[in-house]
Amino acid sequence: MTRFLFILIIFILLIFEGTVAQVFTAGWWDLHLTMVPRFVVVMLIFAALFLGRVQGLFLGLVFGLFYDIIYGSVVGIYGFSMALIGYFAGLVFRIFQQNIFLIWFTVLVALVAFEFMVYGLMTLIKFTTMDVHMFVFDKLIPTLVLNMIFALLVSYPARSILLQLKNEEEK
Amino acid sequence: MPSFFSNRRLIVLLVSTIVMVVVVGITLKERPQPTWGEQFIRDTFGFFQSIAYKPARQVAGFFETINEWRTLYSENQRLKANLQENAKLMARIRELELENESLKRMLDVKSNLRDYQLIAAEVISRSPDRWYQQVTINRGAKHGVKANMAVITTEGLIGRVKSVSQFTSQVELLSDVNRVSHISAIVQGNENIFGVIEGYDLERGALLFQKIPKDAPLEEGQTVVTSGLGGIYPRGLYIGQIVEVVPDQYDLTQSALVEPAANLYHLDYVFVVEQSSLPPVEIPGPDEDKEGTEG
Repeated sequence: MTRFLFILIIFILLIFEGTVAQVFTAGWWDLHLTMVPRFVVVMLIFAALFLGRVQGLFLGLVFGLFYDIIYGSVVGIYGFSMALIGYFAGLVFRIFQQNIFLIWFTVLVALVAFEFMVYGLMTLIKFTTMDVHMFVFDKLIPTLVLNMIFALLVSYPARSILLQLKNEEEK
Repeated sequence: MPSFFSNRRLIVLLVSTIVMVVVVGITLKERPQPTWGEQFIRDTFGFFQSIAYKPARQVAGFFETINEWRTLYSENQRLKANLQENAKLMARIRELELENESLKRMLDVKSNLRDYQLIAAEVISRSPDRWYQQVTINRGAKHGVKANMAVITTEGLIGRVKSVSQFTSQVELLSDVNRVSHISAIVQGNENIFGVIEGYDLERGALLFQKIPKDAPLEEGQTVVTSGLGGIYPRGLYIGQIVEVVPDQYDLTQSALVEPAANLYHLDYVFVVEQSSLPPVEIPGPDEDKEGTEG
């Protein structure tokens, strides 16, 4: 039941990113910066931290493929990136689970790694011509600010849901 | 802590990297008709997206309305002045239209590049990462939308239909750097100034209007519209205004930066342009990637 609830939350966030979040992003209000909502990725990192690397890997793969199909046209970029991020976030779960500051730090590092990976893949297939300087200052930093605020807001509820989920699994 | 790269994991990582490269390679090309699985997922999500997007837009619209109250008076004055001008113009347009009609009948012109019908559609989501500059609209193959149709708002051209599902379709915006379909355009009022819109300048937020003949008199503020050549877009769709004229790399042609008239971030209602009067023609694309495209 908790598992169903958690997956439903991620689905809702996936829809939220492309619809409601778009109305309130910088572009709608004529600002130059780009804030990319990565709420699904943040939740995925949380899930991987608490549930381990295998679940992180599969959740990342599934939701990455959904992301590819709904919001993109090339299948595989987000599927691969999110699966990898889920896996590596899951690798550190035994150490960092106890301390909330370490969790936030992991989320930050994982987000930076994720953004750079997607940027690299997009550059590789020539879907963007943005240079690194512009990417970091106009896109990466505003994105990190937005998503870290989100991570701070949801960290306690997400933790309680995930701990409950973990307890149910262990029974 | 488990080691990062034990032998088995390294092999799994390598295999999955290869799988990713293969899948990306297969799906990289233009796919006007995605597989049924993708269509199903897009349509299902489209249903929920359309539920979520509308109220959010209305809330945002409410805040904008408050913002607009401040400029209401001066805007009203300006609009009133415009209105009188408009009435005069309308009369003149009607006169010219009639004249045009009769002249065409005399010349026996059958097809008209300017003729098109509009399919009204609503934007239901936008790709949140700005790598893909695309939006999803709530009209698909069932409503008569086909790939490569032009999409406009009341302000001007915004892009083209990239891939069509049954009930939704994805629209590639003008600001997409990867846009493969180049737009043949002219400067309005002077048929000799023609060129191709073939890119987007990220830093300036303007379209690159290139391959314009070297001696053409380009100026800032000139209006750029589609030419109708090339078969994808009908003639006379408003693209934008020239904001800067830049010398070309090899000095053989001219280039200009064109600012799109439509606000590409502020999209709610759009129109898909259905070009009805032209017989379907197969147009070879700019490169081999487009071979799968059906005109």
